[in-house]
Amino acid sequence: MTRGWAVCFGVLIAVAAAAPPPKKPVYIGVRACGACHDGPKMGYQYSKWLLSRHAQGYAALAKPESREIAKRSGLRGDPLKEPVCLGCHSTASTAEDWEKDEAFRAEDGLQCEACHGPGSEYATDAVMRNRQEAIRAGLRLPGTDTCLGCHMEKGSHTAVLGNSTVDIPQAIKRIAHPRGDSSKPVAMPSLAPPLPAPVTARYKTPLNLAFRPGTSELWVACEASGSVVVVDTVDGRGVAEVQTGGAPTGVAFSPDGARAFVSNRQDDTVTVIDAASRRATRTLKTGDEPHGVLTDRAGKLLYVLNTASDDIYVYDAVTLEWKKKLAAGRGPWALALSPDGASIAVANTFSHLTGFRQPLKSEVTVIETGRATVNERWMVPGANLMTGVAWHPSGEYALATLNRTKNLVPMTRLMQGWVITNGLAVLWADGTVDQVLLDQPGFGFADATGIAITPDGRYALVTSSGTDRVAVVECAKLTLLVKSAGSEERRSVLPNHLGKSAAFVVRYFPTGRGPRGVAISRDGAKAYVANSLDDTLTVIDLRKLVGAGAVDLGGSKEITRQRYGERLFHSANIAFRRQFSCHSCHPDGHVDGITYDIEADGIGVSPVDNRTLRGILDTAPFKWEGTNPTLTRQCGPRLAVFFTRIQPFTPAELDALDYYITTIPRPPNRHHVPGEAYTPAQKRGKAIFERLTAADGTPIPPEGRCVTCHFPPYFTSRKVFDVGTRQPLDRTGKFDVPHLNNIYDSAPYLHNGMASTLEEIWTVYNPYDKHGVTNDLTKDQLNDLIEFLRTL
Amino acid sequence: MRHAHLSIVLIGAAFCQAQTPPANAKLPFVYTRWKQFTKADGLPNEHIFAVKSDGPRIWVGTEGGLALIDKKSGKVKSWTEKDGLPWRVVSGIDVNHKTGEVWLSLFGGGLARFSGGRFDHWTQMNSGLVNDVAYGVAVENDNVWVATTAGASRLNTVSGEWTVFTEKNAPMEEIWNYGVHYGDGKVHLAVWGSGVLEFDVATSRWKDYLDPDGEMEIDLYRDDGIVHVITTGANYVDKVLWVSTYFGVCRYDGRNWRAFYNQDSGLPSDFNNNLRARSGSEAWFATDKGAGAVMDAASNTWVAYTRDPLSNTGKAVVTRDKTVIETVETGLNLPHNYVVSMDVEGNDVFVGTSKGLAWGIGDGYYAGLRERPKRMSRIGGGAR
Repeated sequence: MTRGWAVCFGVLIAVAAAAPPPKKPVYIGVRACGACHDGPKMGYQYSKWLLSRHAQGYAALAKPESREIAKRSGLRGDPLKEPVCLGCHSTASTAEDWEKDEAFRAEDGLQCEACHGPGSEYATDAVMRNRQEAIRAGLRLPGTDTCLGCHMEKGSHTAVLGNSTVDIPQAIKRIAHPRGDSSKPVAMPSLAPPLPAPVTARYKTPLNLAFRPGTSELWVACEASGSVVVVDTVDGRGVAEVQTGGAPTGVAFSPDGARAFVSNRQDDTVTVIDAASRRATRTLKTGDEPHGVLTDRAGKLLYVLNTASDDIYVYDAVTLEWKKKLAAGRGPWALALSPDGASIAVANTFSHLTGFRQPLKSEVTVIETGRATVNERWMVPGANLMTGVAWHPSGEYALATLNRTKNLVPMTRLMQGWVITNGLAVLWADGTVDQVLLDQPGFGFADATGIAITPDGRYALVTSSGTDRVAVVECAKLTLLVKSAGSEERRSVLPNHLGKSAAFVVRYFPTGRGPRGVAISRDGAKAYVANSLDDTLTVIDLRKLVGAGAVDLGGSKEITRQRYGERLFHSANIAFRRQFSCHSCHPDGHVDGITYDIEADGIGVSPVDNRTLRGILDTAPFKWEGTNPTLTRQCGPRLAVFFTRIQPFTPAELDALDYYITTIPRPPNRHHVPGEAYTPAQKRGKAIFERLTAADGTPIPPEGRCVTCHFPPYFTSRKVFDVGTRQPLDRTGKFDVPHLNNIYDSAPYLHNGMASTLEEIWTVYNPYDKHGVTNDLTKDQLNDLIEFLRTL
Repeated sequence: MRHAHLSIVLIGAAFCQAQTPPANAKLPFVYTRWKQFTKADGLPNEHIFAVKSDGPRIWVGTEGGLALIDKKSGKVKSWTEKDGLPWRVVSGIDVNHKTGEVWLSLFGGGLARFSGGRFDHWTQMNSGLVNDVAYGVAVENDNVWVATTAGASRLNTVSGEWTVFTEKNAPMEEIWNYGVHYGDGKVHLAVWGSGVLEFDVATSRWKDYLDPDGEMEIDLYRDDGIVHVITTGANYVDKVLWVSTYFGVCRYDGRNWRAFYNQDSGLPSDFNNNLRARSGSEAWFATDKGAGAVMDAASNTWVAYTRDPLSNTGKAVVTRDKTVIETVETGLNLPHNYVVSMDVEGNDVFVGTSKGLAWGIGDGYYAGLRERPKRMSRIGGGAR
């Protein structure tokens, strides 16, 4: 190198070090903005946008009108993919991929950054507080010209939509989004970072566990890590981890301990593991969301509970060949083999659909193992969320965990401990059923979940995932209490009496966070409790009834915003006297299929069906009347006032909770794999869903078409609409247009759950074609439409 | 029926001298031991629209509920709407032996499944079932077929998918489906006005069997095909198709059709409500004048079981080509000559009539014909 070149190079380095070039801003997406720009102090800016047409800009391209406009414009492709359409219906349509943050999604339509410019460099708190600095960092202050960039008259749009010109000054007024009080300085909410941080921490989330026969190995199914952790109970440490499918929930062994079977709820599979080599050897296809798994005593048949398809698959446990499907109750969850091996009791987590405003009724399905058929169904009145079951070694009875959700009384009764109580069903072998509560008058035993009984039959251990405890039930005291009660007392007093648990619960043990499954060693010396939300096992010495330490399963110790929210979601600390958690009504983020009377609109008025939380990001507004534009509002102080009756979440808690809720995944659609061809019936149904004319050729007005309100990607217009379903108890006929993704797994339907099936929405509750023009459809056409709806 | 009533009462075991001396001949088995079940025994109704034998138990569908007879004890348990039965008129029954589930077609009420004491209900309003006026039900592998007045429906019990078969996707000239049966890999629909439709499960292809002469009043060309397009039942056993109609019955072995009429066979009447085939050679027909069983189709050998309404006793008449070759007084057999439904299982037969159920006990049953002495007329056993 010559000296001259060396000097030049040195100067260049010096210049670069002194004044680094400004970083190219990238698009970070509207939710990053919304993390701060919402709530009363910010004038609900994010919520206002969410309810605006700008938010629906991209989705609108899926409407038939958009296809017509594209056609008239000479475009042959799908408007959702045409750059000329995306230019005004989406954000950053011409930007390269690297110019968009991972959280950015084109599906969000015309987002903040469409007008204000890519936000990565001005979005931070420090920059945003200084307007000039923010402008230097790329913040644009849009004016009328910005609007006119898109809102110019277009012949194609006018031809299809009629007058499409926009009165810009009026439109600006409509979308105005000032802060809550612009005359006063507003402190930025000191919440968590605005960008949803991707979850990098690797958790285990242990749910259920089982001892491998003939060994001291305890196998623990870990939902979050998609694995089974093998714990040596002699050493009290994990010795191996076997990868399984997605979201493993249950684990069981062949009687000789040679094979392990792990149910994978996310994948709809069972992983078969050679227990000695700890290698997965086979994957079995199951029904929807398999949970409990068990072999019969001889090891001939394998039973798998499919909790989302309400059935039980039976396999040859040796050849692994699928044999048959048995009808369960709703949400089969856990199962237990009777001591004589002759029968299996299956606890179902959801109540039967009993009809509008009818009491709950849950089922314990009894399988005769000789024929592998269902021979009895024991009914448990007033109960739901039956998630654990265990036989007493005497064979005289089994115990099952349950919630008693009093959804027919208003939530105001929470103050009397009377909305959700938690306890046990005593399932006598002759089919009669008793119920008792594990709650105490001032302290609920929220979300009684797992149960195991000691080999000598003395104790039953029950977990409370909402209060992080294990109750030790002395079985003899429990049965004495029940047997010594009169028939009326057994029918109506014991199932509801908050003070009776003192008669048979001899100890409450604290556990880690979110205890779920519990297993007892073969010698009855120790119990192990799976703490789902801190990745540990609590060990209990059953001889001395004292805690005996914990086993660390090796999950991440970092508590992310998501994990924090998950803990809050499953904790009963949010409810008066710890009576329930969010999970109690939204088990694992889904629905309990129950209609509730919420006090907000008055007692006895507007009972509403519970709605799933799976995949609800971007489906605002919330509530059936569509009055809550954000989750923050939904889960904020009003939750405390109308539901939990205790101090509300702090802002930081609320932020984490809301964030967690938006991460609750929607399972893969079981009726259609994206990218694969539709079945003929689904194709025909799609044509009906998108049709513009009735069977006789009459044009269907926009309000009578399915796609007008239910358009992709979430199949909701995010608006309220009257579809003629108002009932005498309702205060309005306008209800939120629900999203339709995985609609098949959230029965019952309509705002108050009065439709038990999708078919009833139209065969029973659409007599005047107000919920879409459907009365011209033949039965096979309606079937086709429903086949298509199941694919969404 | 009370337990005491169930015991077979061999009345006198009195054999009378027959008019013709016993002689060895090729003869069919004749049912001489019968049990009857009526409301007095616990049936909810005596109009027996469906009967299904299921090992140790008999399921009975009536106009007023469902009943279950324990074969060993004779005890009857019944369900009506107040017991959870979704609809009172049970028109058809089939059992999925793999799962133990009992499937019921409900006349006006759709489809029901009875499992572990629980009834599940599918209707045209809450499901993909095409119509609630259901005449028959058949289990085909993991599918359940329902014959309805507006077409046939198939429910895939594993996937939950419904398929409707009407004139749109099947050679169904009329859509009024009277009966459905599954056997030997094929589903057969008996359709009012559209003959018999055959669905090959392996290929999902349809085939239709119509009356080639197209005459509604007469069978113009004998043995040219199905005897009439208004059919009431079809069974496929041993690769032989048996068909019942209101105008006679027929058999098709894949090459040749053979019609049977009252005028030239032992069929008690041409008015046939239903049938149940036991084999390619033997089938039982539910007529308005008794139960007719062709016991050996090749030789046109029949046994007709009828009841004398005055004496309340019954007889079995063995014929060949309409010639009576044996008459056996059986004593009690059918509660009524108007037969609506039929079933066979093992050696036994089950006959549903308009006045109750008859259970023919086939001890010593043999298929086809056997050389045996002609039975002397006797007053046979059996009691309510």
